[in-house]
Amino acid sequence: MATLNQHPIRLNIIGTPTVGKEVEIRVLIAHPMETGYRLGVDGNERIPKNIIDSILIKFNQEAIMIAKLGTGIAANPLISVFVEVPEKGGMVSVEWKDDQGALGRAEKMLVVA
Amino acid sequence: MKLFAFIVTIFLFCVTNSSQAQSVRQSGNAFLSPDMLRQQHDPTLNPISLWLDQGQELWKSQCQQCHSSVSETAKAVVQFPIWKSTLASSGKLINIEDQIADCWSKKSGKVISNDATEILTMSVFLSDAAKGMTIQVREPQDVPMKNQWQEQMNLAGQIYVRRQGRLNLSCTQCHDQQIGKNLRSDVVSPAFLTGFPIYRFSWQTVGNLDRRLRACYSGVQASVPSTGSPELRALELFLKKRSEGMLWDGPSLRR
Amino acid sequence: MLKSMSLSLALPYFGMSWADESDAQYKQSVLAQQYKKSDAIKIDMPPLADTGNSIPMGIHFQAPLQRKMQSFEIVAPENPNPMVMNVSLPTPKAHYQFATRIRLAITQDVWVIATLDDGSKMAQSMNCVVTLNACFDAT
Repeated sequence: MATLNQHPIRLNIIGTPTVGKEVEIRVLIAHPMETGYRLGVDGNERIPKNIIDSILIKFNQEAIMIAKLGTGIAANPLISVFVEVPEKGGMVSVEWKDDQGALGRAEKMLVVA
Repeated sequence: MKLFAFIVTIFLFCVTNSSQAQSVRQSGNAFLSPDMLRQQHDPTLNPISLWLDQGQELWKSQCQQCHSSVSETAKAVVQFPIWKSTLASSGKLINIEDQIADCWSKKSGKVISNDATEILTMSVFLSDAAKGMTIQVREPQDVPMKNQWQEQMNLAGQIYVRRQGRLNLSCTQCHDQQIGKNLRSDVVSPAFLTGFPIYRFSWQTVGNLDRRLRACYSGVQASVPSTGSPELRALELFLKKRSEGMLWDGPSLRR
Repeated sequence: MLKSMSLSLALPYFGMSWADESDAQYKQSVLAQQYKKSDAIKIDMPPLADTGNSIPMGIHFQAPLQRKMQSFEIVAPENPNPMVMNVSLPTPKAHYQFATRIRLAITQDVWVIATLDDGSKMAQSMNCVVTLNACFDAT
């Protein structure tokens, strides 16, 4: 049986990358972002907390955004940042870590149009 | 002259009636806010695209060897629930998730439930592939099967108009008589089945029709039937038949 | 290898725990007194949310007087955990745009507090009305 990826991730570059202009980087991560306050099906126990702690976005190996997340971010978190396009373009990478120790990452090449 | 007037009247009667019938049936997507519609139409914003990505992977590795064409297999989405005969003279209704689970169990040799992530993911994937197809419920050809199928339909029709729960509401009271009205943040839709499975923000995940129907029972504070019960399958058949002729929207966002 | 690589890159950034911070400083009354609202920050959020579970929120920051922003926080004072998100920029920026989707427990003012490179803070808030789901869902 194929192993199901627990946390699919989508990294998209929105807009045409033009040198000197800003382009949007959108990250969509599949994660339940359980707050720890919701009750289980039988109404007795709380579903344990499981949220993404931190997201790190890098452009050409250099960190451009470090985010610490709390329970207030919606499930299947969406993060959208803008980055200025340099002459040669570059590699956009996202890394995330959750409070249960799960990790995820994605990479995409930003190609100048 | 009289004959001419008669013909014109009949013609007008037919024309106005048919246009009225078409304009009344709206899919649940018509009741979403502009913000939600924007999220739904943009795959980079829509959380459902994460399930679709997974579904694509699973299809390639698990299903493609036997089911060569996605669009052929997706036709089942608009034809189910179907009558499956178990013994010579009896059978039961099965829906698309039951069929996928059955296929998966046979292939892997292990029993898998409808609520498993894999089954739901495949359901989302096939539902997306069936976008734009016209709903046409498949009826059994065999006469005794057809009679039993009809019996289920009638049973479901009775459930649909029966008042239940502490709130003492029947399905028809809201979904036929209070369409468009607000229930706090929810807007009552006519409950046509064009967009399942749904990503519901209150669930914070994707769920199938079975779960949504159970949530409805819970909403009127009636005792909730268990997952996969015949009552829920019969209701699904009735609602699908009621949506016959409408176009399939594919998996949708809901509040 | 992936794990160790990620962790080693992550360690300098992911050190602090929010459990250490007191929530008292994020109460609505404290925020209103401590921070003066500034037009440098623009919050793009619907005034009436479709659902409390997912509210799209956009932040647009334009630093005044050639200053730069080095970090910002999104705070929802009436949430059980008021600190929604803390974003820090290794390279401070004069102009920044950000968007995400947040959860709000009840109707409240959502605050964005930006820290500039000289340590000073600027804030902006926006009210969002949240209506709860009507039907009890036992599934």
